[in-house]
Amino acid sequence: MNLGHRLRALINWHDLPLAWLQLKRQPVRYLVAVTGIGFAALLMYMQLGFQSGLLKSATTFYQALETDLVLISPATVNSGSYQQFPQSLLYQALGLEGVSETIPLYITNINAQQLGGVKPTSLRIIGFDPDKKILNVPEINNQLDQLKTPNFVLFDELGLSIKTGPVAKQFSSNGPLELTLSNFSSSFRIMGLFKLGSTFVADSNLISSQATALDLAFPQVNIGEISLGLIRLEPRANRTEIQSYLKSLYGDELQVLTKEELITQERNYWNNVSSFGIIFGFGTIMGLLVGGVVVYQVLYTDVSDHLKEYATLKAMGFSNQFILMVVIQESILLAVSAFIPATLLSAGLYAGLTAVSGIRLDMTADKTILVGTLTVSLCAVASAIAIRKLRDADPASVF
Amino acid sequence: MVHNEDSNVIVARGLTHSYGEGELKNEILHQLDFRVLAKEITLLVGPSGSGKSTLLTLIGALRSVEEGSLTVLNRELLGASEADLMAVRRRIGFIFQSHNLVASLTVLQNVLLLLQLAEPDPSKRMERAKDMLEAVGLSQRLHHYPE
Repeated sequence: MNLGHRLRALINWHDLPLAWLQLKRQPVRYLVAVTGIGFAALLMYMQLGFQSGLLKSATTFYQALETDLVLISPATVNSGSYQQFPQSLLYQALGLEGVSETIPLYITNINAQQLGGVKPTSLRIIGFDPDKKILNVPEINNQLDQLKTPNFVLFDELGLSIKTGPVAKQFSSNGPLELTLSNFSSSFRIMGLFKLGSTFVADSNLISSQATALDLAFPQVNIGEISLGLIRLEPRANRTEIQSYLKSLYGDELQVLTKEELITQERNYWNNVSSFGIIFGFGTIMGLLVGGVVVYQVLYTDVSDHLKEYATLKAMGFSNQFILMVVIQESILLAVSAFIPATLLSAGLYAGLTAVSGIRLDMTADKTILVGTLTVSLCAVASAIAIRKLRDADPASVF
Repeated sequence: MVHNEDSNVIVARGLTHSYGEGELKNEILHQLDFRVLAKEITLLVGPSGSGKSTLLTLIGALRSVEEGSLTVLNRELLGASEADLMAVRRRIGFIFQSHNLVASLTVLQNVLLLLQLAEPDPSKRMERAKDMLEAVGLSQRLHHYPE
């Protein structure tokens, strides 16, 4: 008899749903178990959500870049701290056949506030030539002309709302508003809003001209010292060849990456090099362990409580597999019962945290599948351990 | 009394059973020979500890036969597989000292559960279960729980 026949013989839809009836008969224990497993699933969702939110926020800016190749210093380990490099190196690429234009970017963090209004906040300023469209964000591209006036900037309204919420609010109700650098050395005027999303390295983003960025962020950035260099190619240019040539040209001095490589490098840093990936991974494992212990305890107690009944069933002629299947079905029912509310609650928490933090936590299909699989797996493993107790169900003992 | 082999329901030859090992080994049944015929009513009497329960659990295929021969419903139980023991159990009506009904099932569901073994046609189970419970005067308590 093959596995399919065996399963059909064990799971007969005409039979009594014994596993469900046993769970239903003890609603308090059922609720406690579902709460425990649901909490574990919630914990896993949160950890995975923070992890993906971090990775997404760290790469949102890169995703929006409109470029074929990027020059970046090898000393820049992540997007939170750029090592500047000479702009003249970027210009060398202009002489290459197939390169249509190069665009220097100045990126750094500044601290700003509004006396009596906005509290001190950390802002990532991205400065570039306002005649160029470097980001695939229509709200930015439609307001670039405003940036040509010194110290006029655009503000990311998807920033950390606790810190920067008043900015977007004030702008929407009163129009342009002025913020001052925390060291009072300069000030800037917010002339428009856009939506990009905050990151773990700053509360929000500012878009400005390179002159404004140099004025506000000096001495962190200096003229002629850039953070990123964008290289755009002619439509028919061979990107691989040009990248290869530029790599040999710059050697160890600069990295020449495609946009995809830049995103991958950033993700790898946060996932594998920084402590974030380890912390979130550990949190996910902790969730698994908590859930596993809860399910095991529930199933073990359940099997112990029903041991005499199971022994009687065996004495009447029910097979070991039948009773094993009852326990496994119970574990799967517990997993499903806990997984559905945990998913809904997590989706709500994601939405709330996104609104507050500006970091997008999305309930995606891959997360749902992963947490669902882990929840069912941990229930299956816990039941596999718990059913060892079934060996004690000796039919002769019912005498 | 004249009988043929087919009328034998239970046949024991040299049936021996003991508990424990080594010095603690306690032989409960020693070289037991008997047969029980179809339609025969047999009473088993003896003092406490004489092995009545052990013999019944061996006949009921609840325990494995260690030594000798025991044939129940034409199946040899010495060296029988778990599947053979299970098949014998399904053909024997056993009343235990403690009922051990499934506490989470109603009276009706407890009977329906057993009928999963005895009645292959699912559509007939409900009717049979109700008939059986009515026959023993429990038709008013179909949806009660054992405890």
